[in-house]
Amino acid sequence: MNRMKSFFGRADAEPRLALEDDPTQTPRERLSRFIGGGWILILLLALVAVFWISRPAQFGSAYNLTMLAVNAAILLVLSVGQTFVIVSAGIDLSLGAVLVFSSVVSAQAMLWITGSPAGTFGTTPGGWDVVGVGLVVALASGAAWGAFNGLLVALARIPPLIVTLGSLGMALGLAQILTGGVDVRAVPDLLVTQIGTGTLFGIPMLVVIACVVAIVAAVVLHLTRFGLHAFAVGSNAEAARRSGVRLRLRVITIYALSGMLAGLAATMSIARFSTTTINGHAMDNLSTISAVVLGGTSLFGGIGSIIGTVIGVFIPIVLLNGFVILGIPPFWQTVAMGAVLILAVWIDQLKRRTRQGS
Amino acid sequence: MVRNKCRPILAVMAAAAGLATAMPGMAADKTVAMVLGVKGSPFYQALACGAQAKARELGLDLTVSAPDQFAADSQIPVVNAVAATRPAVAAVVPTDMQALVEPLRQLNGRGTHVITVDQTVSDLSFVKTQILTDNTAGGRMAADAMNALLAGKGKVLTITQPPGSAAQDAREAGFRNELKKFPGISYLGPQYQSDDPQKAAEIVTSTLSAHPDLAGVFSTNDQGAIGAITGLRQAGVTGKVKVVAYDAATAEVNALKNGSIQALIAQNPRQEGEAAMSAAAALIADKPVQKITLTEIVTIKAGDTAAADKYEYRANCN
Amino acid sequence: MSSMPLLEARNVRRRFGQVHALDGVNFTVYPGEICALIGDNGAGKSTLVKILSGADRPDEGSILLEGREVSLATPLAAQELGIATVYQDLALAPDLAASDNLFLGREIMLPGVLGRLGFLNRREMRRRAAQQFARLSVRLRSPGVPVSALSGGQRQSVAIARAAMWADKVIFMDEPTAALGVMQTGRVLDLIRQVRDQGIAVVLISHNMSQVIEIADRVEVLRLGKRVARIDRAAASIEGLVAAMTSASAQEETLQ
Repeated sequence: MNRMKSFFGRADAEPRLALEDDPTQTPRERLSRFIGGGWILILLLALVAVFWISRPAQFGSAYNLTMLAVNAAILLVLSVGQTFVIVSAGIDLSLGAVLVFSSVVSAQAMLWITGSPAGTFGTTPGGWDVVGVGLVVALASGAAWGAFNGLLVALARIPPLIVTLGSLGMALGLAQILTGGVDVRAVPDLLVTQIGTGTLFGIPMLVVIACVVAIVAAVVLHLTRFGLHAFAVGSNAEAARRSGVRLRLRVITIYALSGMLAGLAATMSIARFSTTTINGHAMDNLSTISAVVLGGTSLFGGIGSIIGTVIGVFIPIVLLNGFVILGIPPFWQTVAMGAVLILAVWIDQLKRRTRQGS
Repeated sequence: MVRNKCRPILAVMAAAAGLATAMPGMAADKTVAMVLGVKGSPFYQALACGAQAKARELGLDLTVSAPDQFAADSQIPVVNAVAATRPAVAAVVPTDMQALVEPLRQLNGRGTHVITVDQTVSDLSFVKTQILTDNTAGGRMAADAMNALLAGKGKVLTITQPPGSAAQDAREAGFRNELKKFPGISYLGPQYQSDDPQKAAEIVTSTLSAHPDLAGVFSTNDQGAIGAITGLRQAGVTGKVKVVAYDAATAEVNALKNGSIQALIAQNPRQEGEAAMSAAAALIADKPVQKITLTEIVTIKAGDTAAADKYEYRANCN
Repeated sequence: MSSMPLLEARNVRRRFGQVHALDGVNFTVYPGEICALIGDNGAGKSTLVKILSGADRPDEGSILLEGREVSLATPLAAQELGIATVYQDLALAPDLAASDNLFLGREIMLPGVLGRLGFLNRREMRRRAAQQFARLSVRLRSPGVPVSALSGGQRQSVAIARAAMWADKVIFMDEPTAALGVMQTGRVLDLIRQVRDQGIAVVLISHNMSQVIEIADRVEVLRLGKRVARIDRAAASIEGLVAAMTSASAQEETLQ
């Protein structure tokens, strides 16, 4: 039960001793604990309920619910990486571009192995070995960009916002150079049919992959030393350094992890769309940041959870889906998303202020 | 305290749900869902206007949606949501000819007739009809116009989007091939910008530095045109360097009227929208449809104000 | 008082450009005592503490720990030898719980394969943290909350408890009660006495003379980078301490 509560960012579960100089939990404090912990889930459930009640056969159909999960899968994998980075008080704007770059090198590598010429259209006959190589290339490429980001942040001490903005441009530009701006449109058939549209016990493979990533990430973040150090670095990097935490190594590893997850997302993207999407994923960096922040992770670092990110990812997806099904004009969705994001950041500020109350 | 907080939340939820359910119930057989290429584009808004007017006339129940970016990962969730509503017909502007194949196939598999509008996909087995313009012909018309403007001589640059967009590629290819007929015209080739007028302006000024005798610029879309005339204005050669631009967005029409652009190759998005609705009505009534419907492209010369006004892409459905 | 010094600085010099922060300073601390280090601004107290805790290195002179000369290359090296510092900013991670802060950098892992994979043994950490707090009579209103939700005095207690946990010889504290109210100051001073009673020597930098008189077993006075007085508690008075800090005498005095 305590663990569940800590997943939601609420750590206090034991009875309090009353000591003279200790502030009691003010009603405001209690409210902010409740809000920080559970409100985002309530918001999501409320949205789902509203849409379901108004269009049960459409919103609530198995097809639609499955599609919601599939559409969330790739963004979730990216957002998990962003969670680790933001928890450690960093930020990664390069995620979408790293995804694009990794998808390009991975697709080209797979194409080269199967011997198909560059302009091929459609699917190639590559087997699992080819797919495996493509995956490894994507993961390695993502991790390399991540390490690059991490090195500049940790060693050259350049602010993460600037570093990842720079690597965004470089990764995207290099992807366009490598392909001449033309998407690689021939990918192994296995990848598309088994991963992109394949299912495992009726659940789409992409969703299964995203679930596994989320579960592993949650375990690492909340139960291991690596996760604890990520929180520590975000909470007070100097304190962590003085305690003997190898600060620079941790920072580099966290960015490398985030990059590697972008590489995994790249493979998922190729599988789903059966093509690289060089002009796509342009807003992914901001989408991951808003998902992470909506989920209760603080932009200042030190506080966060994976389950929050999962919920945060679903909110814009459910909003878009419901609006389209209800036939609401497209621009209102943009307004609603902006409003929800501001609300979430305001609540984050509220949490911060009550923390500094003592 | 928690319970007290829940009551107002539940009340709001119930009200919202009630409001949403109270929206007019859709008759299942005349529903048409249109998915545009991107939000906020005058071309696609004009297309939607044409569709909405025609839908009213034909008694169709039309809903229009659009993604945030002209990209597959942005459009596919919208297409999925449309598929969940099971309309009788879906008219989609596919933003990627390969990535949209599977989602459209799913749409068709769930019992919806699929029409592609303005762009197309690589697998047409489940597409009932395509509404298209002949972009290659448009490119050719642009080359002819350019030749007339330059009196057969001069260096020409094309500003277009990076390769991969079928429509843009076809326009540039049509232009290039037709130019071969005019030996006096020297083609500097295409330069790429992705819907970025700023970049287009920089491309033009840089080209002018390298080739001060640049005579003409062809832009395959409106963003490139706007950028190009900015670049020409900065260099002080407006009117001296001839501009032929694809599309008739309001900014382009104004530029035509004030002399910054010399010729426009205008599509007719309203006609595309109307054609889509006619095809939809035919599909619903189980009547046969053509495989491809081509809509018109016209060359509008400077001075032809009437035509410019007629073909201008108006976003507000007037 | 035991005659063998625990930690000693002999003739240490440290220059920063033209400024002689430490000009042949001597310093001694004995086991199991609370030693106050006082001096006017610019006397060199902070520099000396940095050197003795490994955050800086002397230009000349030697440092002896239990009679043996040592070189303290980094704060971590000093910690390995049993010397720790509680900084004014406490160096706690505000969002982590007290037990997590105590064990930061020295976490306890689960046994076996899980431990090698990096899984934390939170139950054991909480248990030992509770033991440490009990040993030092520190009562936290809720051990599981982030330390930022604790009062200033309790945060100070957690920082001191952490230092006492890992350093078994000397703990340096720089103005530990400067930001605290009267009640909280009293508790922290009690805690410092508990630490001393555990056998760990405490060196206290303070500008608060009455506090120094109240808690210190011995006082060492610095002036202009040199030690000018060593005063026992019995012989200490506020006027005497102030005079020692500001006096013009060049000879080192020992008052007992």
